Amino acid sequence: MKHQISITVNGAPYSREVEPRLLLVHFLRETLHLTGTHVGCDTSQCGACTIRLNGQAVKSCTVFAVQANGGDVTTVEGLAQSGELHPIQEAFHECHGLQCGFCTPGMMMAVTQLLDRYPEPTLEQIKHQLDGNICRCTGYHNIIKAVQVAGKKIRAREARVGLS
Amino acid sequence: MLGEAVPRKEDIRLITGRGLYVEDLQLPGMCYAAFVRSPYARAEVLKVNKEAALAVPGVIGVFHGSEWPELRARLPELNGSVTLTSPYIDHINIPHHHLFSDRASYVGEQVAVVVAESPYAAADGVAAIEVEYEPLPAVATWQAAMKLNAPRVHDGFDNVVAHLKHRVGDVKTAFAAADIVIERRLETQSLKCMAIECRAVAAQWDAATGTLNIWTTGQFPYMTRGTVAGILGLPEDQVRVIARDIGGGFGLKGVLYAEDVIIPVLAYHLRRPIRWAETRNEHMISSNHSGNQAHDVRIAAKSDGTILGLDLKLYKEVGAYDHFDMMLQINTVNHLTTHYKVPALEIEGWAISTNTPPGSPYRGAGRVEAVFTMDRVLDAIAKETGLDPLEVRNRNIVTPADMPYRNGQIYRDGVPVEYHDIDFPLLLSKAAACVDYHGWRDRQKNLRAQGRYVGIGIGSYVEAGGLGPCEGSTVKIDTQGRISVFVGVNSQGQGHETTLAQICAHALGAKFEDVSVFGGDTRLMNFGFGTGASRVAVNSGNAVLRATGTVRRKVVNLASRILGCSEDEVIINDSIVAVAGARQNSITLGELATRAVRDRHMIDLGGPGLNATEFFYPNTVVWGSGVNMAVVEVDKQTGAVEILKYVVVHDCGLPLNPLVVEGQISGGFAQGLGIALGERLVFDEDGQVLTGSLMDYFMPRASDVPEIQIEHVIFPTSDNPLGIKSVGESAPNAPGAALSAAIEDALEGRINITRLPVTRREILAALRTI
Repeated sequence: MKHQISITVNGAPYSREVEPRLLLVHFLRETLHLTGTHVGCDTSQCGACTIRLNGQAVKSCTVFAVQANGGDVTTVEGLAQSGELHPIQEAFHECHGLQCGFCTPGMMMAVTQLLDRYPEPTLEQIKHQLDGNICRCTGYHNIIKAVQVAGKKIRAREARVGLS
Repeated sequence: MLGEAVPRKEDIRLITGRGLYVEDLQLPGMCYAAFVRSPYARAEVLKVNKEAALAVPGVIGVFHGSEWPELRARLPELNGSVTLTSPYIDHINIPHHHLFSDRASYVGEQVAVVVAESPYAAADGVAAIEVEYEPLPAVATWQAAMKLNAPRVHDGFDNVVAHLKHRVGDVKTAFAAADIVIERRLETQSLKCMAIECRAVAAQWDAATGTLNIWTTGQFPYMTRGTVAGILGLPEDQVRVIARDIGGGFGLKGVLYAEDVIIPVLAYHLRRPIRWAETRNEHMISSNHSGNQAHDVRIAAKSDGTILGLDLKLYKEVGAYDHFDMMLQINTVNHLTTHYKVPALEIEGWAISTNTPPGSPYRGAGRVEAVFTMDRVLDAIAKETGLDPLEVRNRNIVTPADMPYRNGQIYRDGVPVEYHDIDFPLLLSKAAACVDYHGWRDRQKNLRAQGRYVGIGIGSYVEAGGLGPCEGSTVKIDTQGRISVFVGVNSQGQGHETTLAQICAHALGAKFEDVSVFGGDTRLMNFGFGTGASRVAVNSGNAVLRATGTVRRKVVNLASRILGCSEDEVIINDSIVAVAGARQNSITLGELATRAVRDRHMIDLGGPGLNATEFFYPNTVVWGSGVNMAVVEVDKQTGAVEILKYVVVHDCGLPLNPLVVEGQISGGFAQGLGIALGERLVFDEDGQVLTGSLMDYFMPRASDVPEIQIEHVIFPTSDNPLGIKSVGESAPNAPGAALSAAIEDALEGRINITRLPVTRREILAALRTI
């Protein structure tokens, strides 16, 4: 009944035996103990469980772990590199883009894709792209600011890399 | 430091995925619980057949109350003291609420619990259980519950569980003298607070220390401690409740639920750590809701627009168990007249049980209903007299010359309401200037001529916060110079770790980085009265200020001896204690704390170490206030409401951290927007929830929330040493009033808005009449 799966998560390979019905979010949280990814609604509405799977932002409560077999997953725990915060994390911190922090990991993972698609997003693009992520605390104003600031930070960093 | 917009300390763990919410907890040997819930709003539970569930692989046990007497225990009738101090209540008789009972009183009430080796096995166990019910007639609305011969929600108890009355002045004379009498039925729907984290609880019996550890998403950890200790017969010190990272509360988590006791009781008896996390579907059907509220209001006014009197009949649905007696209703009454003078007031209110989940506060807690009523009344007078709504407000407003102003009400802590250190006309005129009220009035005419429907609306709120009895804080400096601040309250996202650290760093002269704030752990402080009622900054903030002041006096005294100077000459800056003017003569806080451990001189300063515990007892609540103004355009084809401009002018005294205060306002505004334009928990006539997921229950998303302009008006209060007023619950209060007024204004009076949320259907119906 159980299936052997191998998934790369935040750069590290994991092989585990799982039930076919195990959701990817539960694989990450309960099997791998990566609890930064949260469950907020069970029906793919709130986006708290958003991760990157093979480059695509997906709601991990709506993917079976077996579907991610052989895949490459990035979660919030994989955002910061060598102890340095990701520009999106820096921007959420500086702009007060979070209060309770529960939706924040999923929100930030959605923003990684948003900024991949639109490095200099318009207000409309930001709002549209965040439609799948609900925040109850912030009223979104500071999240939107954080997306704009993060975009600038990423562009500045890329410019520095380009120069060196 | 105080008043600066410093980024939050708690952010780093939360943005890196290292926060520890209850469902993140994993302990060796942990097992998992899932609940069987009643599919009927009222039913006799005849039999719970456990066998099939016990045969499910991984299921450890099934429990429904007969196993241990503690599982039949009663939850505390009232959530703390609530309104026992209010003189308004003249009748109260609240049914008992058992952890498990043979009678289900709402859809979603717990009937049995399955404990298993994995969350999936627990869910399988729940699916396998067969329960035999005898469905009984139910009442799903307060209107149905008040009918003659309506089924009783609880046998032996009337459906009206509490009643209140209050009178100010002479309403009869006011109506006799009135030029205008207006009558309205105003209604607000039941809502869910809808934190993104649902409820959860975990518990572990720690045999090594003889402690029952409980992790909870609750806003009142000490209530959990006291209740669980009482039911299990354990000393309170053997029950430790931890509530650290919580994914939003907003009131729904501010009450003790049956699961909060059942899980610890099971963990104690089974000697296994147990975790339960609510699903969103469970949350929608079984967690508390705010309850429908209706106002029959009559207003007596003169033809010049001044109010003579107001008569209010208040009907409130309180669900199957009313743990808040009439707190929400009294909040509505206490906040009803907001910024305006109502010389005569007569109020009568009913708390009505229904076969729906128990009622509890949602951020604002009765104030949304108050603001909606008062501003709808003022707008009705404007319509009736032909005066501009702003002018009607100016004619009735309480002015600084009236201060201190007593409106004849008694707050629910038993103290007469008194406004002081507030300038309502300034808030109103500033909001009018920021929104360009008169400019929009002019443009509105031209736009109407072009067939565009633009309207302006006003909402004015007061927010009494900082309810007592008190909060405490322990401040201590360790030998490395690190400063710990303990508080008896926990955060659901408000940023206590930052704002309270700012207070301590400011008052001590310490580096902000050296200060760490710890709350949400009953082992830290003996007492705590919970996060709710916008009370933490006022109560805990001033307690931190007092405790830091006591520590500072110890620092100064000891340093003056060590540095050989007078106490007046000691200065503390950036965690360094020095003699004023003498550069070389200094000592760090850490070095001083090291000396304070063994120095005999500390005998005069309360014992070893640089630490102190102090409490702050407010005399009564403190009044924050504000004005919202909205300009909207209604699309005449689709009925869509576009917010063209939205201004929030508010006074919370000095913002401890403007970043945090504005965050509270942004988030609260979005909740108010939801209340105004879409949020509604819908039950059918059998008490079944029709809005059972986030697919069906509207919540504002990024694209729904417009830009808002926030203006701080700062009148520090003399009520507490920090001079602060509360802000947490302020922002959701007025958008319902301001937006409904703006929509009504945009539609040129073709709609008479009396209900929140304002629905697209109502707007379209009005547009068809044009």
